[in-house]
Amino acid sequence: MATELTPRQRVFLNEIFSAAAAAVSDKISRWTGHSFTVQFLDIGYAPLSGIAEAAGGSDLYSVATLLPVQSTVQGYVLFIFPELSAQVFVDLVFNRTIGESQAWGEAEQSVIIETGNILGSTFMNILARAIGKPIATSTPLFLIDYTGSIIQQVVMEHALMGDEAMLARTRFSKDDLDFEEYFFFIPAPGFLAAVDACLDARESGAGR
Amino acid sequence: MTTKIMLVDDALIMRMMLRDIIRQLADCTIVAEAGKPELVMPLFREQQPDIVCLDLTLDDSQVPAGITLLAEIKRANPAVRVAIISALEQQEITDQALALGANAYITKPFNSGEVAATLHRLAVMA
Repeated sequence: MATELTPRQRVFLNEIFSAAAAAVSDKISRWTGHSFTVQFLDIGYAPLSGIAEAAGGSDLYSVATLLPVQSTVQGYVLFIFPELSAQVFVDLVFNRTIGESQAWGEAEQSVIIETGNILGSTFMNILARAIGKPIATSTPLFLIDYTGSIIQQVVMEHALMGDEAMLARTRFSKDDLDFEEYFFFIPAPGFLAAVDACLDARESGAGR
Repeated sequence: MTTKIMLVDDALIMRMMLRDIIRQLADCTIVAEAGKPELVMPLFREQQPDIVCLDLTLDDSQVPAGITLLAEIKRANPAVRVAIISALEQQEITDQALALGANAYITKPFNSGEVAATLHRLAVMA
């Protein structure tokens, strides 16, 4: 059974993810030079086996970046784009005609990797501010495969620390384009204990 | 006199964007590029740049590799100006970089005007 968030954990994480969505909207718009809106919908834990379904289905061909997170908070940030959305994204960054990017050369992969870096770091910057400790990230990895296989690779090679992911449902939209992107945070066990410690410290500070 | 610039970023797209910006700057030239931390110091010693544009997240080390490299670069030549260009925007990390001698801290995604103005400022600091 997936972990249930306590009410105060949910409030805290809602605040962080709402702030992160606003910051990501700004960063992604600056990065692509086009106005994007990122809306945070809800948050909860889900079994890793459920991620593929949440990201459009196992059989969807997708591109992903996996951003390792270390230091105070440990885990992974995973962004999954259906391949067509990822290609649109690359077109926007390179200022190409939509539909022009078809192959995944080094430059195109680099756009997706850097997108994972910028967006994942933006989220971690906000989390670091909230918990009052620095959080370092590592170089993101580029993955391309069916969503189900991507998740399998992540589970087998990386997410050895737990069997569930924090699923923050977000909606990325751009006025005139169909665009999908899915965001997952796979924290190491102990993340919620760190959240509780932070909330306890805040409450005892406020009570003084 | 031409200002020699070195680019350090693991992301090709970032190096491409920086190349485009620097190409527009008078009296600046790129003398070296490194995408991996282990390439940085040998290239730095060989090319002796005046300015280094340095990303922080270059590998999976616990302390961002750019922080370690910044210290090495400043030890090798304290006169070199270093502009950190990173997606990390956290007070402790920024403070650490500035304490180690970074001359500028630019956050990604950057604005080309901001990068150009920073590089111009660092070029005339000599």
